[in-house]
Amino acid sequence: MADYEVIIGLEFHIQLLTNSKLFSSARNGYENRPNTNVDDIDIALPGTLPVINSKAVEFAIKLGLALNCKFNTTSIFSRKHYFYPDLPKGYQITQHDLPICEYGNLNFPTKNGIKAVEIERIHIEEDSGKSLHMDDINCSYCDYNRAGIPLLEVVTRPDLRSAEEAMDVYKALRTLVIHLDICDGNMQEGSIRADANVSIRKHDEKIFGIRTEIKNINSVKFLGQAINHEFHRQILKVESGQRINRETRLWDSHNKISKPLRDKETILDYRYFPDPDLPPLIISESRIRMVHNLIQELPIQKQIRYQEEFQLTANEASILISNKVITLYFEQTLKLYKNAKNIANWIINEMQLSPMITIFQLAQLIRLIDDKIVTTKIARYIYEKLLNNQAVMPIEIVADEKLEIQHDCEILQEIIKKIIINNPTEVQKYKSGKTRVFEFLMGQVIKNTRGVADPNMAKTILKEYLDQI
Amino acid sequence: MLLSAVYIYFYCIVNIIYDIKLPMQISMDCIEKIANLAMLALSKTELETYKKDLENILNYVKVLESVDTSKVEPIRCVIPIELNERVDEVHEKIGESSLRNSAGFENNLIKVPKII
Repeated sequence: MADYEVIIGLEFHIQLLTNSKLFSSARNGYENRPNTNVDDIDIALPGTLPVINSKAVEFAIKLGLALNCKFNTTSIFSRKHYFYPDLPKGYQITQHDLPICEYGNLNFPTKNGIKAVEIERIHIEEDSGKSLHMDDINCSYCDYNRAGIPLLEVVTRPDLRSAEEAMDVYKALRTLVIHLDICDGNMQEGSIRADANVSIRKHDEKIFGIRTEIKNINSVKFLGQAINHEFHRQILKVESGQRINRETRLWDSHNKISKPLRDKETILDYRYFPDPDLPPLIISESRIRMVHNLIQELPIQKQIRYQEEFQLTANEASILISNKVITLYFEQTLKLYKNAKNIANWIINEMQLSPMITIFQLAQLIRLIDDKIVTTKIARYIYEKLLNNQAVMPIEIVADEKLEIQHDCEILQEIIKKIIINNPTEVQKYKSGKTRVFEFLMGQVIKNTRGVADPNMAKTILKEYLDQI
Repeated sequence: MLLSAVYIYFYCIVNIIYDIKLPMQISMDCIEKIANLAMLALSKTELETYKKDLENILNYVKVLESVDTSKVEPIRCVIPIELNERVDEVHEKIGESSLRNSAGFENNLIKVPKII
């Protein structure tokens, strides 16, 4: 196995967040009651004419800019023909020989720093319908709500050399389209689907082996599993002297195996030709500039800034950026209180990425910890009280319930003296060398002070007393 | 309408046949393949007829090919117009969907022979 390396190229289908479909005014919402969002244009009834959605073109330009692509000022829509029940027209409108964007690159974070993958092309096309398989053994069912939804297809060069890299690219592209506001990034719903082209070669070889394509993956984890599975399958084939077929395979995530779908050599004849209903799409420089002005800081730029400016780890930065609501929440809180590290820590670990308190509450809560007014433990207690209660501020809860850290040395000494008297057995154990009992005694201190004791001060006093005995 | 239909027909056929890299004589296999791709069930006599028609078309294209076009920009669209764009607005359709007319329509789903 060590003799081989895996060669991976990826294709992504990104569903665009438009209101209407790519060529018709039907609603872009395939979750509605089946076959309710279907226009006559979507099923190409005679006499209908497709008219392109300007928002979809704008989104294509946006992604093209974010991926540093070259724009084809003239691009062409073609028909791709095949017969399949989920394709009501008998052809799909897509871009074939002249796509809207070519030759770009995507920078993506990995655990070994930032890498880049080259983008071959981005093109605009329409989605197919959805086929449903129920218990009926003779029939399938079709829902055409999805037919005609605008997609951007992004194709990478075969630059990737491990399943991990492919997974990182998938994650980075998802984050990017979410931040560009062009796709909701909902993977379970298939909003961003991946196909992986996989081949292998020996390390000293120049040319790639015959590739197979694994289609329609909708999770980062499955993409990794499918690539690794395919890598091993191909090695086994080659090692046992068999030929690898150029074929399309489907990943069965339940059984963790891939199955052949169809033989590409026999069926790959889509009879592309320019759609006579759609003249060339012309993109002007000024339009590109206009869209350029709409683009804000890209996630990869945020990633670098979070790491350099705020000293966050790569992982912390990625987590904050992967969800746009969280990114905004983090940045807004940071405007109120400048301790990025602690804010990041609270959002990720304490709040588990669900921002249920206001940015004002969070900023003040972290300030209270940093100023040593409350302990982290008390802060968690306050946090629970703040949940879904936007009207009250942390400082008010501290005042009402007297939760401030107790810095009064004398009061603490009294409490600790009592604890030592009340727990003679534990003290004895401690003296005989079982130092773990110390934690128990500290627990008693916290309990008797309702957690507001200055933990460092309490520790020092307790240790002092125990050592005196 | 008719013009575009003729245009499609030409483009399509020429593309297929060039892809398969055939000489001007078309084999029966090739005609059958084209018929299959178009989902047409043709009889042997029909296949013979279309074979001759296609060969004629290709020979005509051969004549066109003799013109020197090396200094001519390829024509992307026969009508010199730009693509019209539409504002991204939803217009719900009034009345029942044309899909109701499909052969199998159950619970708002289209029933088709088993896939996979």
